[in-house]
Amino acid sequence: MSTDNESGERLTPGQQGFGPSDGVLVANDLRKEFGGLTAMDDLSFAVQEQEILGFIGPNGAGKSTTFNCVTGFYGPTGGNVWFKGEDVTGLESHEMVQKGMARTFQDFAPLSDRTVVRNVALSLAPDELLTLAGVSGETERLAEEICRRVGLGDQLEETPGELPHAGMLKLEIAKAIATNPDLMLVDEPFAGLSSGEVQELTEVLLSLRDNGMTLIVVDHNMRGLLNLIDRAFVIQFGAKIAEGPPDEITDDPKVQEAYLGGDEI
Amino acid sequence: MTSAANVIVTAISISSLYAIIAIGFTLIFGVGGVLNFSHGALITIGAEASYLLSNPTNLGLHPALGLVGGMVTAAVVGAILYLGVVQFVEDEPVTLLILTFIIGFFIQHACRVFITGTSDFSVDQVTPGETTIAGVTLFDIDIFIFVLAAVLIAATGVFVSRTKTGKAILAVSMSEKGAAVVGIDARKINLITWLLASAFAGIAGVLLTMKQTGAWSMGTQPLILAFSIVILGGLGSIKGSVVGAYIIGFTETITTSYISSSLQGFTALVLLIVLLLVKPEGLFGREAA
Amino acid sequence: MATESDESVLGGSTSAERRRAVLEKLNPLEMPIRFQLGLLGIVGFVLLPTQLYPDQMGRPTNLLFLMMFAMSWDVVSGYTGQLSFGHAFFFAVGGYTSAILDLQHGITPVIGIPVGMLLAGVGGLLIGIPALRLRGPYLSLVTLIIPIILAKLFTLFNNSLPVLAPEGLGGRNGPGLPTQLFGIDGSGAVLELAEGYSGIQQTALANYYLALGLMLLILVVLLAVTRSSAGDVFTAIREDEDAVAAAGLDASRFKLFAFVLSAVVGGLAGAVWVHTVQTPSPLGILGQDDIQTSIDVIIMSILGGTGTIVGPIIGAVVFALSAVVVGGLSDVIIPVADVAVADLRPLPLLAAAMATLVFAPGGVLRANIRLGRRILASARGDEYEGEPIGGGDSALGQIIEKYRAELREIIDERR
Repeated sequence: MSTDNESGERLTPGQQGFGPSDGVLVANDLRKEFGGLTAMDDLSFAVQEQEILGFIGPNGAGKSTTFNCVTGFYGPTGGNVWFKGEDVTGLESHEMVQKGMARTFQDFAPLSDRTVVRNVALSLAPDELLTLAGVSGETERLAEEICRRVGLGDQLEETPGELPHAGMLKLEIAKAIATNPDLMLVDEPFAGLSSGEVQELTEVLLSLRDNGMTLIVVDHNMRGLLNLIDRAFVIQFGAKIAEGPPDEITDDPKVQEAYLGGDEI
Repeated sequence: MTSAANVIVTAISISSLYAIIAIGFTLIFGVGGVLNFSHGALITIGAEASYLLSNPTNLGLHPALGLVGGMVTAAVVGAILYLGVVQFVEDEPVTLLILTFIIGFFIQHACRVFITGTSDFSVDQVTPGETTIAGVTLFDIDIFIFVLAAVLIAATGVFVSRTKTGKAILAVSMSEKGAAVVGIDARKINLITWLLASAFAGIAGVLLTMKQTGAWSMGTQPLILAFSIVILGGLGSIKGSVVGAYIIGFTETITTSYISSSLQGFTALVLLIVLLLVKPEGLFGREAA
Repeated sequence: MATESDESVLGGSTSAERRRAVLEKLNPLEMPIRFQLGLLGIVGFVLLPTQLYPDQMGRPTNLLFLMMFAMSWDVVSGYTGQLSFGHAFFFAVGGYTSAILDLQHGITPVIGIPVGMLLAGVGGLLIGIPALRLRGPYLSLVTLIIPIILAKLFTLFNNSLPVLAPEGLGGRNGPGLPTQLFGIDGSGAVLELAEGYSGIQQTALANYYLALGLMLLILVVLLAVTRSSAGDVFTAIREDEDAVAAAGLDASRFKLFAFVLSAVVGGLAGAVWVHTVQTPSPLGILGQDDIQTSIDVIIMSILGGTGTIVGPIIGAVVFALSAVVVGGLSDVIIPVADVAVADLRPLPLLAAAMATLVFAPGGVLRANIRLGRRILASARGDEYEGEPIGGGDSALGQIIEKYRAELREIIDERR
């Protein structure tokens, strides 16, 4: 468990903002504009090693944009991203993955032409052009092992199209795990899951953390996250409105206002 | 130096032909999302039909009848293509792309095997002779091509902006779903578009043969130029096609007249490649609709 | 990245394991029937010359080159889904380079062929880099007109291209006949064989077996690449590039690699072609209207099945056989039209390609494998349950999907 209070103090940016060594992943004054629209307004945050951060905000708050900027799918307009002390601002998405930052897709992006296990095996493929990897089947065995760990052991040879919703989520997580990340950004993992499935997935994510992984979980409300996250970070209109332990956050007046008339926090 | 006026007249007449070819190509794309690579073969069809109708060794009818016959034949073949093949694979653009390519080859080879063989052929001009205006001697056929193309382009413009069917074509080209909501039969609109586009290609084929000569594979180069023009002007844009046709037509004529005739079909393509490399989304990509 | 450390988790020396696995796959007795049939086909090609006169060897030799060209198309277009409509460009760059080096610089084909291959690879880079930015129809257009521009260059520098080709590129006729790799005694070929008729015989055989060896070499290389994890990445690119990036793989690098690999293979085949059975000229290499060869290559791949490497070989055989069969029907006259069936060429072939596109977009290879499996299953008394994976979605289907998405983007942008 990460120590919330200790890190909490350091996590409030001072005048000088965050520096590269303030966490395993640090965003400082991250900004993204689309045309004249500011989707992310000088957002700063830091995540500590083996922490599970809940990244919360109502729909359209800029969560996805932040997510895409951090993982390299968009180039930010301004600001910096440091990962493991290294400046990774504006790197391409595959480079981020190679540095140890994996992501899942909210709208799932499995390759529908191949089985579950071969979807996972793609993440194990070396970024090399001339290779014999994959010929002998050892990557396939490793991929099977990963599938079993996330609870897909019985669906190895099915196509993603045959999986239920929860299975697709597990596949997304298995694909991310297979890149051997130090940090994993998980997009809306609990959307549309039953409480039993939420419980199962929570355990998978907690065991990943116990194995040394840092996690950022993005969601639009706190449902299902209370037992998972150490700290919540709430944004609206591309800027932070609150952060702290999950049970305190729900009582925060600013947060309640942001969710007024809309979703439940 | 051949008079600059002559070069300009040739450029205008060639550009006008390219424009009506490109308009057909772009209309089919706009309405059905189909890149119709058999469009060039429809040019050949028009030319071959006019050859059968009005060449003295065949039926020897008046060239004007050949022009009408070429137009009608191409339109009929286009309609058959749409009804017989395209509508069944409409949802698969790549299959359709390769398919129309192969159909185009098929039609052209069929023309070679069954009609004209590998030799060039000619048809009499609708308007033979020359006219001298302000000291510049012009071929009447060039004037005829320019006027006819201008009328066709203007008519197309009026058609899509004023008539009910034309507006429906625009609506379908904007969104098939939207068209369905307002009760437009997309299949009928598609068919009309194919008829129109093929008729234009047929006319262009006859006129090209009158201006130069015809050959079984004559459609290929105009097809590639039309594709280039349409990419240049923005896929699906009528205005863009006309502008693109004149850019390509003038570039082509000026370079072949003043630099070297071996540059035929070269400068325009190089220009296009350079443009695509600098602006991968096309010249008028966004603005022109 | 993951792989190295993860492999050791499972224990065992992976490189030894890989080698063993590769060797196991190469044991003919253990292979699935379709591979055994493939081997049988190769044996057939090896034995073919015993059934033919030397003057009949030209066509089969040419066929082997067509196979190489079709395979080279498949590795980039069939696998990664970047449709090339002008692949003959690479064959021409390879062929012309080697021919010009030989004719105008006195450099032996033994050196000229590798140089032609390299230059074709450079051509692959030159097209592959912009291809990274160009979407569907734009890439189609660029690839379509590149060989046409090349042919114009041949005409433009008809008589002289300073330094590179002092005597010019030869316009529509080509630069002339370069030194042959094999020829009869005294012919000036790189390797002079016997005199007279037996020399002609030996030349035909040497050309054939060289082409066969080259085809098999290319087949093995391309199979190795596409059956390794790189092949999985290629097909993943065809499906979804974001998923490739999320797996930590650089899609651009793999796309470029596919282009260059394809170009190198095509350039090599093109270079050897002009020193054996083909004259370097726009019509000879690029074909009718400078695009026919490129389209033929696509037709062969579609006939056999795109995204398989083996399919294009079968497609090329179908392609050639149809030409032989139809060509043989010179006495059969179609009534009314008064045209001999033989003169219909290439209409039947084009019709077959159209039918394949519409009715069996996976190509005849996949259709036959499926048919074969059904027969085997019913022989065992089982019900054939269809392809467990991959068979339903043909490679062509995916290329189509990719293209459609790109078209949609373009259309949406306009609105």
